[in-house]
This record gives sequence, C-alpha cells and structure tokens, in this order.
Amino acid sequence: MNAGRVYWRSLAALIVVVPLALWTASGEDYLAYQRHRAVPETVVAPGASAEFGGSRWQIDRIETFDAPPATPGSVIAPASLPAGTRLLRVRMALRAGDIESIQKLDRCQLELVDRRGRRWTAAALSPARRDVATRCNGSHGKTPQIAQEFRFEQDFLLPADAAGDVDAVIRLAAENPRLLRLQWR
Amino acid sequence: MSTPRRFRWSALLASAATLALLLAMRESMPNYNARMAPIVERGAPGEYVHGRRFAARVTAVETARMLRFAHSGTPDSVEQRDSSGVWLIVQASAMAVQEPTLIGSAAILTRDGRRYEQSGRLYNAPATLAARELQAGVASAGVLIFELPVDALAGAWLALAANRIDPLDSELQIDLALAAPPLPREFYDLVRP
Amino acid sequence: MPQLDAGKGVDTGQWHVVVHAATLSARRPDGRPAARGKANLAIELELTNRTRSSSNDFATLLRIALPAIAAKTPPTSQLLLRDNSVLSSLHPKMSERIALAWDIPLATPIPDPLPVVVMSKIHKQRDNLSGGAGWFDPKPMAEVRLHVTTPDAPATLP
Repeated sequence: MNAGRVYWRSLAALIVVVPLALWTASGEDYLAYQRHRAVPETVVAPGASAEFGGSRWQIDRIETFDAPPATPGSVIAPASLPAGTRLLRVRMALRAGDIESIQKLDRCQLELVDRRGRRWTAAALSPARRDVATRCNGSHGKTPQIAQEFRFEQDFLLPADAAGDVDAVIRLAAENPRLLRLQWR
Repeated sequence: MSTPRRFRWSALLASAATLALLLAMRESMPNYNARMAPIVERGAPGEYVHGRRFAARVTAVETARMLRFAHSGTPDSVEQRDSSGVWLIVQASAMAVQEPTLIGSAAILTRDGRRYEQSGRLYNAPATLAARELQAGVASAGVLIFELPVDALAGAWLALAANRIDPLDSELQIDLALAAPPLPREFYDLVRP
Repeated sequence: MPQLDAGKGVDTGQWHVVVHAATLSARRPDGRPAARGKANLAIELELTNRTRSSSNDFATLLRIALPAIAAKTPPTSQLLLRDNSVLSSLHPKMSERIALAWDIPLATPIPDPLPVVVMSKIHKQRDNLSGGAGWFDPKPMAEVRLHVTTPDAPATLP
C-alpha cells in the first residue's frame, strides 16, 4: 500500500481512537463525578408546600429589614446592619407526619440560596429569642408535634443585591444528599 | 536484512545524555508539598484580595507588648498575655464568595522564610475573625492575632486560607506594609466584635 | 549515649532543648491535681523551635527511663509555664519554658538521679508515604540525669 495513504488513514483513525482511549481510561470516573456533583433537589413553586422527610414544608413569611428589627425580650441589639446588607427574617411552617419525621428534624438546616448559586446560613447576630422557636426541632419549649402546624423563624444577613431574590432550602441529614428548595417569589 | 553495524560513539553519547536528563528530571521533581502547594493570590494592604472561597482585606496592623481582654463568661475579670516577642494584631475584614466558609488557617510569613501560625494562647478571649463563619457578600470585620520575635516584623506578610489540610486551594498573601514596623504599644485591648 | 548536664542545651534539629528540672508532686505544674491514685512527674525544659514553621511536635521529645512510663506514652499534660496553660504550639525562634508531665502510679520507685532521654528526629525532604517533607524517626540523642525534687513531700517528722 502507498505509504502516504496509510499515513492519512492513521491520522483519520486517531479522531476515533483518541476519544475512545480517553473514555476507556476515565469514562467511569467522569460519570461518577457527574453523579456526585448533581444535587437532587425538589423545587417547589412559590406559595406551594411539599413533603420532605415525612414533614410538609412551606415558607410562611419572609420579611426584609434594612435596620435591625426590634426583638421582643432582647436587651442588646446591634445599632445598625453592616453596610450594604439586609436582614431577612424567614418564618417556615412545617407539619410532621409521625414521630420518626420529628426525630429527623433534629439534624436539619434552613439555608437561603440565590440564582447565582450563592448560599447563606442563619446569622448569629440576633440575640437568643424566646418569643418564637428558632430551630427546625424547636426551642424554648416550643417543639413540633405530630400532625400540628409548627413554625420557626431564623434571621439571615444577605448582601442587598440578593435580598429580593432568594429561595429557602431545607437540608435533613436523614435525607442526604436530597434537598428541598422552596421558591419565594 | 540488516548488516552488522560498527560501534557508534554517537549512540553511546545519546544514551549518556538521556540518562543524565532522566536523572536531572528525577532530582528536580517537586516533592509532595510543592505539588500540593496552595494557589497564591497576592495583594496590598487596604484592597480586597480574592481567593476561591473568600476575599479578605487588611485594614490596620498594630503591635503590642501585652494583650488584655475580659475573660468570657466572667464579667469584670481582666486577663493579660505577655510574650517573649511581640504581639501582632491584624485588623481585617473578609467575606465568603459563594458558600459559608471559615478562615481555617492564618499565618504570618516573615522575610527570612518562616511561618508563624495564629496564636493558640487566647483561651477565653473574644473570638478572632478566624472563628467567625463568613457569609457570601457580607463583610465581617475582626482581628487576627500572632506572636513573633520583634526582629521578624519588618517585611512580614499575612497568609490566609480556608483550610490547612486541604491544599490546592487559594491562599491569600497580603503585604502588611511593615517596612518600618510601628513601635509596640504597652497594651492592646481585645474587645468583643 | 552522650551525657548532658541539666541546664545545658542540645540541638535535636527540630528543637533546641535545655532540660532544667524534674519534680514529683501530687499536683501538675498548672496546680491541678494529678489523677486519682497517681502522682505527677513533671520535667521542666526550655524549648526553641529551630524550624521554619510553628510546631507542636514535642510529645515524643523526651523519654523517661521508668517502667511506669511506656516508651511511646505522650505526656499527660504539656504546659506553657508563662501562662500555666495548655501548650498549643511553639513558634520559630521564640524560646519558651514548658513542662512535659506524666501521671504515674503513686508507689513508683524513682531512681536518683532519674535518667531522661532527649529524642531527635531526622528531616526528610520526601517521606516514604506521600513524598512530602517532614520530621520522622525519633531516636535517642542524649541523656540528662536529673535529681527529682519532691516539693510537697511531708517534712521529716520530729
């Protein structure tokens, strides 16, 4: 066979062989990486509620403040928020189905996320509140009961540009890695 | 059919050169620490330096012979800490980029190539910036505290990273502009943020 | 093994070590009592970090030649005598007085003088596991014979 033709054929074969070799070498790892990266989140439309970890969840209310809100029973309150930030007071409502789903609330976290993928956890700036429950599993004697509506409230400090456009995310250790994402607006 | 060839000096030379090259490559290969070294972002004081997980800005640098603070939990009790060298107090502010994060590692890099980690002597003292969870886009201000010999101050840099045991991540290195270090004052009072 | 006088310094590579004194007491050097049924043997020394970074690698620095302290037992407490607080790490070129202290059973016979061995590690540019730099292989380097003082021993009865 003509040497020149073999050369060109081999070169053409590389187009098939190189990707094939790459896939054989690391295809499995790539798929595993993709599976690992994907976050299975259930997205819930604004105003709607959804079942997650045996409880029914809903955003009850989100209030936005540009100065620290007066908190009943608190003595010390910061005079002002850090520059360029807003305080979001998020009140969640949940109804636990059974005792098992109440136990799942012991390892639970409420977070806010925005469309750019930024994520916030509750700020510790507000003094301990006694007028409302401040955790998923209750605080100060206010605890979730089976088949009863339970509300808890947490404060978040966010940059002003994100304050109007966030969703609430619920993480339950028992449901990892699944998330519940409740849209606000 | 190949004909037997004569001994060729060029082949021997090429082999020797290849061996030498291999040896040089083996010897010059960076060790684990160098390969896993953090990705350094350098910056000047007063400006935000951005890393993958957080951005930080140095606002002021002070030195003191003694640190003084109220014992947490016990009001009206004052504790103080002296040093065989000098206390270096860096006032900084920091914010997370995307996710909540901590400044897991803070150190001072000195001109002679040494690395002074944050002081671990501040039990019961008000929390430093490194203990505070940073939130995305929300600036947190606080202090970072180090102890080092007086003669190590000149030319020192601050090095911040999210984690010490997780390399291949950003390390912010910020010049503290200490060409002429300030005279240490007698006391620096740590206050609650 | 080379003998070293108390109060004389030796370089182990990582540390400059000056062993000063040994104390047997019912209390640890920070004043807290030793564990129930035990006494506390404290070795006071001055340490200077000779490396380029802050380090807390001093748990294997001393080996006490007592059957009651097994060869690789880390000290019960490591104290910074400047504050009488738990020692976290020592920074380069900053000498500090520290105490390494072990709780030992009450009836342990203590030889006089007590042999205390200073251990030394070697620096490897590439360790055998990951290929990173570090200090490995503690080996005996010098021996200090210390007279053990017992400050709270009952005064001789009249």
